[in-house]
Amino acid sequence: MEGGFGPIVAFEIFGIPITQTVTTTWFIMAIVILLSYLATRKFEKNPKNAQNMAEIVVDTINGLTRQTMGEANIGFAPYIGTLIIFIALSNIAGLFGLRPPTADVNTTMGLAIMTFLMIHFFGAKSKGVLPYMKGFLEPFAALLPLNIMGELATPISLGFRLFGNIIGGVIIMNLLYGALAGLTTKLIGINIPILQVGIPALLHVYFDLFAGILQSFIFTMLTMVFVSIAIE
Amino acid sequence: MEATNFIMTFLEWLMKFDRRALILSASAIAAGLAMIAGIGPGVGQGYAAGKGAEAVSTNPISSKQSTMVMLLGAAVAETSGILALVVALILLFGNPLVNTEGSALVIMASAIGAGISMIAGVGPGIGQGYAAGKGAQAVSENPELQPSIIRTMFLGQAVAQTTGIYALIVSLVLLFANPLLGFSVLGGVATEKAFILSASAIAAGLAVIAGIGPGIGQGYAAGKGAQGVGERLNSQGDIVRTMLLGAAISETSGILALVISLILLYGNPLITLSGNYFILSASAIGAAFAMIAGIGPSIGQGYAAGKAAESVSINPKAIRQSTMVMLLGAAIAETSTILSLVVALILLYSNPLVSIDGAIIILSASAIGAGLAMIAGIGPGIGQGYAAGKGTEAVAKRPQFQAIIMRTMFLGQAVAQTTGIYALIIALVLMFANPLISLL
Repeated sequence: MEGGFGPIVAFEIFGIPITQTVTTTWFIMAIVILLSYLATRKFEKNPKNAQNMAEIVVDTINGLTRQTMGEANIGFAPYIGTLIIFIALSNIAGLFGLRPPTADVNTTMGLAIMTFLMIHFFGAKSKGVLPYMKGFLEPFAALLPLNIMGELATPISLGFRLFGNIIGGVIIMNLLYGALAGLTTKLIGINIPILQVGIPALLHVYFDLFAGILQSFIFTMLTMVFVSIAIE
Repeated sequence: MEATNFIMTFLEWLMKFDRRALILSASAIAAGLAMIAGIGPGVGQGYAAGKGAEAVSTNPISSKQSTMVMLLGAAVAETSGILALVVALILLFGNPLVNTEGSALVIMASAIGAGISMIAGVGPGIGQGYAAGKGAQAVSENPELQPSIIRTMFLGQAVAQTTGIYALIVSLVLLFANPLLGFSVLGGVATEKAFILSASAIAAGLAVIAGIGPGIGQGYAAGKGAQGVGERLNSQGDIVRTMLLGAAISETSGILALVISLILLYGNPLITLSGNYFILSASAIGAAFAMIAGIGPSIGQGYAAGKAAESVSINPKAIRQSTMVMLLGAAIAETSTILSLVVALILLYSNPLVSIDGAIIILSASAIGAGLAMIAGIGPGIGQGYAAGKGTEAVAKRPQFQAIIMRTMFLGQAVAQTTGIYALIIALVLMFANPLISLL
């Protein structure tokens, strides 16, 4: 979809194109699985380094879920935790020279559609299917099309908020590296990347670390809030 | 093609003139356009002057300090006006475009784009002026805290300048290092590619006008931050951090508009797309119009950021709760920008209009219309941001009710989105199920 700034197709399996997005996602999945395995391999009464870290992470996520969704919905915590860890790692992938999977609208819309399905599945489950359907006719029946559009706008804005923020950073960093490379060749006359060292670091901190962590938090929090509003 | 005859006639009429004369006349228009930015500093400094006078009357003893802060703040608010003046002077006295090689049409459009982009300076001017006024007021109330207040005010004002800087960058790129001129186009009567490139140059300038929003919003946050520091110095760190966090969120719409502008300049997908050049050119303009909607969300988010900084000074213990409500409320206020971004990306990358069989002039007008419709997003953005700000304030006062306060805020924000959704429906209808084409 994004033409010149889109992900490159790495290779094909049985004619299915595998893009950078998919390979980086595999890589992040591998890291998360490996870390989870290593941190929880040997549980001890008095936790040491890795287990300590894992417990802090789990406690924080449980606390966040309890605070936002209420004690009754603490069962969502594992999904919420997975979501925030995956999105955060995806967003900061740019720091390691990888193309963030969240800079691909397919990833972010996939996550947003999962949130969308959760909102409506758990909404219908807790209210009952008929009262839930009736909710679309409120405050009066003529608003049905608008209510449906409003519901559809939720996943679109959720998915594109994440996509837009991350792809924006990717494009600006791409152009900056290009400009610095051009400037190096012009000023010094040789093709040694001197200016590309250091100067982009500040922008990496803003676009990858700050915006990346913030957007993963926002996506996860909005998912929690939307689902818990649907349940209530 | 018969429908585009009027425009072709106009272009042929243009091409009768000397190439140099054409570029110079476009530069004249552009120099005028750039100076529109002066609206901002004018409004902002007026506010600062008013607040300064008020501050002197509240506390005549510290009139010197208040006046100094007012003057310092107002000097910063002048920046956008000066930047616009610089661009206008470049166009008048050191015009780099006159001797540039390339299609006259693209050069003319680049001059106009460079002028239009500077209009973004309206935002920082107003915002920084507000901050200057609030700074003067804060100093009159607590003259002994002058250094801390000035520092916070300057920091906030510097952040508020960023979108103005983006606009300046786009303007200078168009003037001095124009990537659009790198494409080989034949001179003489506008070739198809030159037409798309010209539209892209103007659109690149139009898109960054969205920077008006962050400028105003972040300026508001800076003012509230300075005020908060004056009221509760020992929470200075928390107040400034909250202000900066909120200001960064308010920046988003400006960054997304800049991205669209950079795409048009550096990775323009329209040039390689097959389809009628007239529709493609209109799509570039339409995409830029859509991004102007970002003015709304960023003003709203700036308000929320300011309220969050204020909330920290009211109740420093509830900083977590107020920051959370501000973040979530501001994220919802972002929706209009996101929907506009979707429309802009559709117009640029998977434009449905080029494959429709119909009168070209209607299809082109539909592309511009779809972009124009999205500007409605300014309203929901400001409104939802106001709701986010008030929600934040409410949580700071009664943190134990965070859940129900957020619920009411979210429900209200959802209602405020309605007109933005209407606009999105019209934009989508224009692009995908256009009823006008079959009426011909």
